[in-house]
Amino acid sequence: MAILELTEACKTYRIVQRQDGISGALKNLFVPRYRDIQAVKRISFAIEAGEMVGFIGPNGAGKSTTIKLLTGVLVPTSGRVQVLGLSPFKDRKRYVGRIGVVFGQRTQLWWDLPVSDTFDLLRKIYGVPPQTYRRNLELFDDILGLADFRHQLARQLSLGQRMRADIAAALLHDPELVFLDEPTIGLDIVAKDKIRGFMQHINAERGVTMLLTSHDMQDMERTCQRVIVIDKGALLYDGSVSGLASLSGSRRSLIVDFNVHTRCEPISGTELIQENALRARFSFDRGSMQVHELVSQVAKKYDIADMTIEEPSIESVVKTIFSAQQARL
Amino acid sequence: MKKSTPERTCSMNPVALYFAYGSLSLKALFAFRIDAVLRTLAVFVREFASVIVVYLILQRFPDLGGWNMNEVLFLFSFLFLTYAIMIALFTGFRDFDMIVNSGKLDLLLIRPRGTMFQLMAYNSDYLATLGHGAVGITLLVWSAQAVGIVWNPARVAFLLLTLVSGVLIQGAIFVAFSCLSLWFGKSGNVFRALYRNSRKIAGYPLSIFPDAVRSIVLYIMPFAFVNYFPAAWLLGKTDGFWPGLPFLSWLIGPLLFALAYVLWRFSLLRYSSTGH
Amino acid sequence: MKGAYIEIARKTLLEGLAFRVNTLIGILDTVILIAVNVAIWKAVYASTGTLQTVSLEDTITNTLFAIGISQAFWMDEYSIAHKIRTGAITNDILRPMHFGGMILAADIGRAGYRLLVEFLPAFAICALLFGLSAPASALALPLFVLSMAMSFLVLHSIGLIMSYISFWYFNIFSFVTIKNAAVLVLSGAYIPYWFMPDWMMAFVRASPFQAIYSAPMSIWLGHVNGSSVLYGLAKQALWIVALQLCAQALWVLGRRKLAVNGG
Repeated sequence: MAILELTEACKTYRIVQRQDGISGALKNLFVPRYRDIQAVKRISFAIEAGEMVGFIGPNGAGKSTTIKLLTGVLVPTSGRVQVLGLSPFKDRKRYVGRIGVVFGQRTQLWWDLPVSDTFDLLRKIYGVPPQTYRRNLELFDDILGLADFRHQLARQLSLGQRMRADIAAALLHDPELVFLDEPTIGLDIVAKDKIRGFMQHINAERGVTMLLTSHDMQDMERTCQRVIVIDKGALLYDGSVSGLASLSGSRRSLIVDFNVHTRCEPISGTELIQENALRARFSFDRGSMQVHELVSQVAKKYDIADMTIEEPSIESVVKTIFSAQQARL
Repeated sequence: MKKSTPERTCSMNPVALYFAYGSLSLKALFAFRIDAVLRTLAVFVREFASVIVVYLILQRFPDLGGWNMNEVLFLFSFLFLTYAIMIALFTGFRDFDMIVNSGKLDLLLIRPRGTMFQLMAYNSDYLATLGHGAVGITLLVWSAQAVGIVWNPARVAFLLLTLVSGVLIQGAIFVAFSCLSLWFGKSGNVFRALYRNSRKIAGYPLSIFPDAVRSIVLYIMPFAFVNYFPAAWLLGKTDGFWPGLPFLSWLIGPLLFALAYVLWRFSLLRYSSTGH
Repeated sequence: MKGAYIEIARKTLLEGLAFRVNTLIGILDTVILIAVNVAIWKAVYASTGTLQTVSLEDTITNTLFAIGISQAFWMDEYSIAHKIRTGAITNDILRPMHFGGMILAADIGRAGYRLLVEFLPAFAICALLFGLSAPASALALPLFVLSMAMSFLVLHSIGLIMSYISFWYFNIFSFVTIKNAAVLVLSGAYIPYWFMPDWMMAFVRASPFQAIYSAPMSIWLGHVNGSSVLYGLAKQALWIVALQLCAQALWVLGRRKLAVNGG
């Protein structure tokens, strides 16, 4: 049964347009001029209980606006939002007690106080029963390693620690449904892995439904079964992660950094797309070329400082899907 | 593990929760103890400086529009006392622009509590409360004794009701500012300047000002009802104003606040439908 | 080289112009502030008639100039303190300019803007409404302007000292606020020096506060004549030198601390 349903949802922002000059400033005050910006255009999707869904798109695609519609911060201009059988905006207080939200870009921790103080306040705000609270803290200590810094001031935490504490804060009250807006933004690989592992654990062990936005494709591949792609406010793709991978094409790039100035020779099955004295970039098809073969071939031939495989960025994925759709039309 | 159940057994009542917020506010302020003490002292000195100015002027002159020094200081004390209480409750509305711009308002909207309640509870500026409150209490105690006010139950009740209403008037003004900045962006500056100036005007007997200045604190920012009319009544003066005005203050506070609350609900709806 | 400082002053002035609504507020603020204080003086004078040694007109003139200009002579201690605290100051130190000179240029730009765009209109309105004493003599006018310029330098130097405190203490709010309160009471704007009690006057005479608004106002109103005008100006100059030396010493010590501890 779907616990979250978004039907033909639209969101149009009105932005005050600045008018110059003293008369303009006065006009701004009394007769402001507006410009409409369509942030979300007729998006529909449904999520079943227990699902873990990725929600991706380039910057400014409308991800955060959609999350705000789903969490009751904003009301849709038109269309319908129904989550847990409630209208997030109309039944706000009743509704938000049952969900958890993480805004990755802004912390909900009290800046000048230890993390544990914020947790304690949240316990009181949500009315979390003591045994639930204790059980959750133990779990967070276990998997997120929170015990190491739970008594430190929030301002002294590293970005990764802060994000872990923020995620824990959103889960203290056992929400049935959790929204995570950019939970891995700005983190290094180790921190990202920790957070991904935790999200999977909560989803698998507790059956908590999760919707997470990101513009990191890896987040999706590692954690979600299903992804929804949006761009410029419109839905582009809704389906399995593997389906997205096949849509996004199988071309990858191998970037090679040399120790000495090197002129590369062509390698069969690859295309040399960029070359300067200390760096070369080969484009190859992952379907027809084994990565480790290519790597060993290059390593044998040249004096290598470093090699990286470049995954397609979300921008290029969106571009590929978009042109594929255009071709179909 | 079983799926969580939505039942909430330990929901805290708003008053207790307000104090939970408040104790954290205090703890955060006093995380840097010496600095907090110094800042409280600085606010006290800043506010007291304006009192010293009045004191020194009135040492040279017998009175100010028929009010002697102690009476003017008595008038002054209401401003500090009401501001001290008001700022403890409405700091969130004073800092509202910053709360919106930093996205904190969204964080309040995802909590299962009232938005106005959270803004009132969250992060109170108790340093201002201490600074203004200390000036206010000092002035009230000293000046009331100097002018020889006899505190009977009726006068005490009058004073308390006046203070409550004064807090509500200024709280309503702060809430209204926040609404205006939701509608017009930062043009709220204009109104803040009016507030600042009205407070300055209200430090002195209304009767000394020309009509243009009077009308600011009577009709635009009704500070006259925060301190002038009530203080005049306690001192047995009318200065030629209608004698019912001191009692009208009790009505004006709750009325303005009710209006501000309606405006607030309405503006919040606009925030949710237009974004910011 | 000189061009760079002028450029800083010009840029701060233009920045001010960019916020025109704030300009209107600034004018309104000053007019109301002056109107309130004039009303107070009128009311207290009404209670004694002409018993006072200084006329109501002179007292109103003091209010118009000193309170009006004090709204313009507002130093921005916090932005320098912020630079010191965040270490952004290293960028400024690396420029081939004298740091104090850069601050002075910025302060002049801001004060210049406020004098021209906020003070002058407000002053004109208030002079029409409330009247004004003429300068004591033809020579008093240029000397008044010179003395007022030195008042600005005194306030600027005190502001500089306040900013440099942040080399040692991270939040200068308390220091700046208490300083501003002292200026409010002692500078001669809200309480003209002729209404200060003797004990207070004795303190003010021995402090830089007399060199703020009391010095120029005594010239305009003709309360000082002949050589005592020069004496007053010299005293102002001396205070500027003393405060600047103090600021410079703090700067040198502060930079050393920055070099040792890192930004």
